[in-house]
Amino acid sequence: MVKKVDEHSRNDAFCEKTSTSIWQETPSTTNPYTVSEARCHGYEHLALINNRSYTEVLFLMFQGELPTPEQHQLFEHLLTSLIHPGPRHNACRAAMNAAVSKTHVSHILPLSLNVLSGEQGGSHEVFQAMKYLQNNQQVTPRMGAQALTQAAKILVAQTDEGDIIPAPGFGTFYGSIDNYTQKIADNVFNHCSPGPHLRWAHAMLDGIDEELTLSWRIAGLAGACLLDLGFTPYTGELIFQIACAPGIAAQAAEKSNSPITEMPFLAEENYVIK
Amino acid sequence: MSSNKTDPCWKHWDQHRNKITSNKGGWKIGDAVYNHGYSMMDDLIGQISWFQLLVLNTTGRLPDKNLATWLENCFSCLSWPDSRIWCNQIAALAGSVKTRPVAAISAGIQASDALLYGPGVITPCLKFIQQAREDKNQGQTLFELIQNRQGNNHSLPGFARPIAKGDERVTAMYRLSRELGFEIGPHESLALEISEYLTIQEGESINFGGYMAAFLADQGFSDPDLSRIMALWVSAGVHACYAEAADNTAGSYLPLQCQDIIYTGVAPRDLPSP
Repeated sequence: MVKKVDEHSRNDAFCEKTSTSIWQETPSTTNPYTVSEARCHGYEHLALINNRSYTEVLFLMFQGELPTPEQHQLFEHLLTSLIHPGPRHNACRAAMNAAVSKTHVSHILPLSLNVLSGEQGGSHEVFQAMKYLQNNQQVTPRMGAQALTQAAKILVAQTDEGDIIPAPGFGTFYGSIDNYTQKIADNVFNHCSPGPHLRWAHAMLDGIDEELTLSWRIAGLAGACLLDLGFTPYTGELIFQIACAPGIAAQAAEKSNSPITEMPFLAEENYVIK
Repeated sequence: MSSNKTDPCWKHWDQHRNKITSNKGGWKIGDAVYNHGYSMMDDLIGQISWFQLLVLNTTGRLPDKNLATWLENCFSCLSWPDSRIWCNQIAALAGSVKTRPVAAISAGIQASDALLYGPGVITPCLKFIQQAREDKNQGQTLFELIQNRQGNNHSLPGFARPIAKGDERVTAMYRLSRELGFEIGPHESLALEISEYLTIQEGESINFGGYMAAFLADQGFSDPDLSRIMALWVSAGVHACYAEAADNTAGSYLPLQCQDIIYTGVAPRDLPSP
């Protein structure tokens, strides 16, 4: 029997101080804990407040440079496209549910964003869609469509229920084409300058057998936009959560003063214990 | 904190800079993990339960096994595998979008920090029963105790509950309290007296939060310790409802058609020109 494990520190060379290239705080002369000037990637924070939009500064924060006019337009369109996942989205339902049951307001958005983090209809589907698009950039859209069609046919044969999602961000939505996401995609193409990932995904979807009713899912569209804007899958998932937060929070706020009966509570006869 | 006139105003923060001082314990590599002076591997593992450790780590007090058993059963009482319960529903909604377990369970736990149920009720329940005991000792009658509170348009924390009247958990835990050898203390006794009074007057009775707070007040617990110990109170029910929803097909937990949300806002209107 081992009585005492020989335990030694690895003596890893941990850094002594945290470093960042995003935000610089210059200490004030009167107190080293307070700030006299703050800069974001070299730009003075106050100058950004007075001269740039929230969207531009958000882009700057993650990318290190201010967006070009084309990037600004696409990012602005994307953020507004994602601003509300819809009151039926599980994250919104969680927010409303918590609001009527009088969950502490501090928890509403964090808990709802946890629900939003899912990999089917949530932020992690965006991460995975971005990975898929990155991995297929060397493949022609036609070949991508063939692979997706083949994968979808296998899934259709194997799956009795639920959506067919042969690649993250691309598939069915409640069993059919996602009409509203298609409208948002058309809007992006009509008003912005699509980059290589949006164009590839659009061309790929054009090559899919119509009978399969595969289309953009919101994660695929968001992922393609975010890649064209220079975001990585990691940062893209974070941006998706930030973008969806306002609609989720608003749904909770609307219910904050409502009684608990303002959200459905399934009747006994509809709750079946097998 | 000692200070004199020559000390800078930030001396307090400088004293804590790059230094952690803990009364709780910690890991001394090659020596031991200490919990409030106990060596975890030598004194605790295999000898105390997780609930004893929870209370020890939170409060510095190592409770006996009977009290830990009572607490463990108290957690069970709030862990119903029924996804209609608000915190459980939030975890189920998360499961249905394939959110990762930790995010989903965290969301459910956060939701339970509510004014209507869960750990959020502990502080008002404790405050009420502790104040009521003091007031009774000062000579107030049960009628006055209740009227003072209800007359100010406040509810009576720890009495009545949403959805149903009566609380079967109180009966079960009252029985367990006696089986474990706990005598009825002054807070528990007063809580049961108020409950009997309310039953006669209004058909309402003590709820589980009220009973728990009164019993544990008699065991010497108070806020903030109790709210900290009970933070994961609902967790096993949340786990159950997340697991079931996550096992099922994505989106199949209480799906909603568009028409299942009733829109009550303004009628469609044109966007004004900028």
